[in-house]
Amino acid sequence: MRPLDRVMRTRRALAATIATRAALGAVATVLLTAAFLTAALRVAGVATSSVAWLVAGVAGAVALALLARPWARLTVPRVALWIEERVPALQYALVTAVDPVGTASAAFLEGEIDRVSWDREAGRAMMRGLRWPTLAAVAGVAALLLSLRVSVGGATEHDRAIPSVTTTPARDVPAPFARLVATVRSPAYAGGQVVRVESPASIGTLVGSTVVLEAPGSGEGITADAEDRPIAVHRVGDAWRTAVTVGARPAVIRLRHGTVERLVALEPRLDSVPVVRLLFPTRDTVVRAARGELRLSAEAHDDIGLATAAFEYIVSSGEGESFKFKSGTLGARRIDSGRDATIGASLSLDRLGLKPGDMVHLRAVAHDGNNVSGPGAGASETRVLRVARAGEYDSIAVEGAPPSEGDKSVISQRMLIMLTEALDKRRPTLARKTLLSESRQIARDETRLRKRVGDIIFQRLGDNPTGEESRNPAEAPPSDSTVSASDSMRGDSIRRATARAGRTPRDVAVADSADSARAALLRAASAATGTGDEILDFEGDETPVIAINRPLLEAYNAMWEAGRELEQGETGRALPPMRRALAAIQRARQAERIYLRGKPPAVVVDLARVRLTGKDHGAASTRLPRVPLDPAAARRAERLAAAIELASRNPAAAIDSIVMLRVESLDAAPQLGAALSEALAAMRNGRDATTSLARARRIADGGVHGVGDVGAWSGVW
Amino acid sequence: MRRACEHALRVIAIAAIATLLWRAIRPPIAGGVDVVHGDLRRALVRWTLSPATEMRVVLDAAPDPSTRDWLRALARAGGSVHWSSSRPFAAAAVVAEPVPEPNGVTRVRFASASGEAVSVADDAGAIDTLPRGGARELELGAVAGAVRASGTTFTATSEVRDSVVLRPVLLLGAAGWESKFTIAALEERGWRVASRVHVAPNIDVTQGSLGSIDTVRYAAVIVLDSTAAPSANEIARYARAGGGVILGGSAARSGAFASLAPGRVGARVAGVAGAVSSASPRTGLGGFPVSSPAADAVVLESRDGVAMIAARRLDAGRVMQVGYDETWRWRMAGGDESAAAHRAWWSRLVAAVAYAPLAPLAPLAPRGSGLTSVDETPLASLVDAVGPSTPMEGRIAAHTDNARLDWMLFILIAASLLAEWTSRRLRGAR
Amino acid sequence: MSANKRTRFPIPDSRFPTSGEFVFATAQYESGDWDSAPLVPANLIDSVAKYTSLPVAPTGAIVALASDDLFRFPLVFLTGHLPVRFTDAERTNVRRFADRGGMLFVDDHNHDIDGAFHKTAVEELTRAVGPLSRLPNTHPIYSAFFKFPDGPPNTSHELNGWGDNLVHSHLLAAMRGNRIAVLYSNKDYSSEWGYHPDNKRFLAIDNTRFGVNIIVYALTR
Repeated sequence: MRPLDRVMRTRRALAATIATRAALGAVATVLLTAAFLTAALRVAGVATSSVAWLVAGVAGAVALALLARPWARLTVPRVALWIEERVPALQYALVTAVDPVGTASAAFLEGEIDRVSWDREAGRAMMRGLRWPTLAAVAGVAALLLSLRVSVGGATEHDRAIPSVTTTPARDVPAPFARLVATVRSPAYAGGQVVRVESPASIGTLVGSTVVLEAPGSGEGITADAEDRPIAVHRVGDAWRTAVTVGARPAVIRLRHGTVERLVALEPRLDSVPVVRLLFPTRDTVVRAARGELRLSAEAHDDIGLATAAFEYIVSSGEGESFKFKSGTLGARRIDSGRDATIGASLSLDRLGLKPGDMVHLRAVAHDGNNVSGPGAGASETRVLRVARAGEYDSIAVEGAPPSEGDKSVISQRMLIMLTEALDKRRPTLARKTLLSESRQIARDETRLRKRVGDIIFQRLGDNPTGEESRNPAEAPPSDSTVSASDSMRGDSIRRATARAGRTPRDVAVADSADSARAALLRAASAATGTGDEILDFEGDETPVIAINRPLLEAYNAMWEAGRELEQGETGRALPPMRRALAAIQRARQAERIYLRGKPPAVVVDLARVRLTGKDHGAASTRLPRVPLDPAAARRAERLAAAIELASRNPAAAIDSIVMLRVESLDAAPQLGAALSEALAAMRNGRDATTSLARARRIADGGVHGVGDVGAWSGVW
Repeated sequence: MRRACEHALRVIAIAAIATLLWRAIRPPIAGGVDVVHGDLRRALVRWTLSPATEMRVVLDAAPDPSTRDWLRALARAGGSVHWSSSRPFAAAAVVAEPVPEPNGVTRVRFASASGEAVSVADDAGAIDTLPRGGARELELGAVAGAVRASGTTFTATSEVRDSVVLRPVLLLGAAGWESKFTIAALEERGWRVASRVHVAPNIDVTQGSLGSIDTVRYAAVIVLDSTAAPSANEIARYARAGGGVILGGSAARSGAFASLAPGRVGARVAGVAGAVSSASPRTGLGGFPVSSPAADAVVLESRDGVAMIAARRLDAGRVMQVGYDETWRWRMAGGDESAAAHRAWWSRLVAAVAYAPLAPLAPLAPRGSGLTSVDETPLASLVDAVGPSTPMEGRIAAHTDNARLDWMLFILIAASLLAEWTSRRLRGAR
Repeated sequence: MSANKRTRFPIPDSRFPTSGEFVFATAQYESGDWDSAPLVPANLIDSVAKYTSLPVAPTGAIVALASDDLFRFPLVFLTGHLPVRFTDAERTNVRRFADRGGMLFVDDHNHDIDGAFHKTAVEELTRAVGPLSRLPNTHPIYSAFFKFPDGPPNTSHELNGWGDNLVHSHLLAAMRGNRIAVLYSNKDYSSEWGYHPDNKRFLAIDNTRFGVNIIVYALTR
């Protein structure tokens, strides 16, 4: 082959390489640019945009032009020179040989050139030239795929006041409405931001915003309605215009011109009420004397803007059936649309003139600036300050609350009896070790309850509680052989108390059950008050304190005896003293409001005596059925099925149907509304919406209710 | 070296072209046995016009119904039609039927041979998958179009061809939380409920039409306690005539109901404290176990080895015994979805016994499936059409018609020619 | 020992209230005098036993609004004189209670519409379950057992001019569908029914009959 032919062959290969390199480079530029812009837009809250691809296309064209420039410089001498650079052995013989001027030594040069082959070096150089564009193109594909995984940013709290608008591609918009523009102005209290968008599809904005739709044209023949209520269409200069105020419910603005229709969905955002937190006081308080100043502090936060904040108090005075109230505010402050605020004040307790038994309810309240549907008011938790009455100073029975969560570890005496009875029943089948373990657990609970009773007695007798209450409740109580010093002291206290009354504990118990004149007096007094079997007895040299505590003393002793038997696993022998203790506790409760587990005394109705003894008679009545939950669910499913079927024949009409359905679903079926949003986004941008429509269909149809094995009876079990 | 490779690629392309040509014009196997492997359409046309002595198809997957019917017609016309499979054929089935519940619940049952993966889908998308075969039952809100169960060797198709006629449910019991919340659950779920709830002697709270207890009036009767004992004989007749009866709590203890019940009423058991808000909420409910279930009773739910729900067929009807007597606690004290779960559970109980005659729907044309008819059991239907699989002799197995091979050859030709051209051009040659 | 450990011992069900029994529950809340009417439960239990054959527990129960135990009693009575301010836990519980089918009967023990209980209770209930609106006097609750053709029966305290010297002609209610979730009264039924049931024999007309209607309505609707 002549040198010129060989150079031409290399030139053709170089041209192909340059073309390939330019193409790869352009593709890489398009992909990388599109990936960057797509990610940026998605972070900014825009799902898709043709602008990103337009910009990427322009960048790709520029890259193509730049990378393809060497093509024009591919002359034969340049190619020969290029070969010479890579094959020094030619020693410029090739450049000389292909010179069009010609040379006398052409035959000689041809022979020299024939001995040298440059295919390999040229091939390597061309492959190296393609390496980076290839890598860039691959990187571009990866970057684009990653950018599509960036989630579309929702409206942040900072942006709630700013309307968001999605658009529809202009190609899908029928002619009279092709250049429709929406101008959305948020309410004045929220800043009055204005957003203007062409070809709107849906508008998300605060309740009370105004939406103005306008397009060039006379507006003749154009009608507009929202939720079947007509909206006026006005001509303004060269354009027509219609306006609507966004209400609290989603709606669709329907524009019609003859048979052509355009829908714009309105998605209202509700203004949340302020969130208020009372920082000080931190908890409820009971005081003996209401003097001084009480510091108040609170913080408030709103999604749009606060207007005012203050502290409110209510003072309640009185007791029984007669109460008086007075209320007021403190620390009121106007806030100029800030989203966060802190307020403080000082409550003068002296000035309130609080008396024993009075209560003060305190809380912080904030209002936002919503003058459209509000204002929204938020309130903090309430704190209560109470002034104790004189008689409550040494009582532990004031709160009268049902057992709190933390109190559940203290099992009632009745429950302990039930557990012991159950264990006693199982006793023949249990191993000794198991029986002892279970029995001692009950013994520990009995001890805890006995401690509570002991505390009450000690306080009333003026003794300080001994070390018993400071022992870890999980510890086993000492057995008979290891009675601790504290237990001795406690037992001594009780023995001293009963001795002061001139009776032994046994005498107390015996006296209660004796059918003596005193017992008869006790029973008569009991009948007159309509309460328990026994009443208090102040005869003899008992003090009222001792008399009141007598049932509790008996309960205490009985619990002690029961605990001893339980420690030894003697469940049968533990039951009688446990029952005696229960009876004594009930007598103590009926005598006084002592809430060992916090319950007030209950009147027990004798059902057998009163059953069906009423003079009046009721009458049969008819019940009205309840309405099914969400009766519109089936209709929504049918409409979606029809819209999906319509999509293959008339995509634009199907989109309109789905828009209407989505707006209606935003309140009643938000999950379906969200799935339809995805489907609409895909349909409007020409993407395959099959997956998202299938998902929406499954949600509308109710999904999978149950899964199970095929069994002998129909149904999922 | 490079030129040698290009030359080799040209040879490969020419060889593939020659193979394709030969496959297109080759004659059938001598002896009148025509074996077809792959696309049967051309072979079926050929056999219809001039049947071979023995027509044999080698199947990779179960044929669609129209192909199967064509084979059946060829066999019935006197031809000898046999089939075998190039790989093990899995048995599979799917059926879709309406559940007697409001709002159009559909039950789909599907099964495939052990080890054979199967996935079920409808026109709305995928529904479920069994990776290792087996059987499963699903209840869906509704199905879109036909239901297809697909595996590697089969596609079974079913569609809902009937709708159910749902009548009201009658509830009888004493006024209380259980009757209140059971009625509420069924009504909120869409059932029509008639009820008679006892408040005082001769004073009941009633709802709906309360006539004789008959299958014309009611789909099911729920008896929550012994207050319905005076109607026990009527309810028994109703059950034997086809009605559905649910005996709740201790209702089955009453004499006349005891003869209907699937079992005896055991001593009441308490629920596990706090379990109502757990993943197994009914373990937190107390109730009366079904003890000594009858021989024909089916235990539907048990707990700690003790049956809590059992059912049996009674002549034309069905009777269910539900031991729980305070299911309302599940709705009130359960987790966030407890109210919906309670409704669904009661609706399912009623659906499991309800008398609900079927009304045929208009035939459904499957959308997008490409299939023209229901094919619920492909393999069984194929065996029914042309008999069981019969293995091929060795020489016959070698002579097969395989459309896939044709496509592979075409791709090989295109790829080798393209590779040869690219290499040549990059080399600079013309 | 926690309740969970107790489940090791199966307790005979004869020791528990039977499962079909109605238990009258009074709500305990943090902010006020929730126990201002301790005799109302016994009185209404007595009336339910007198006029109906409903199984009913002989004593009432007290349940904290913030506690999960609230959901064991689908009808709960709430009363008091003092301001009502729910904690967040109480408010959440009341909302869930109403949504799941519970019924809360609230009675202003002061029977005055401008009083602290009324204003605060209405505000808290509105926040928790939604606005309270007038219940028509033809509502089924007025014929659920006894007939009250004129709507809610007046109380002696209203007629005697106590409180705000007004006779309130309507009750208020928050609905869930067509069912009452919260029934609110400022007619002071707590005072009207706050006496020992044995004293009913002194009354010509049993003034607790409307309470029976409330209970029967709750149990059957």
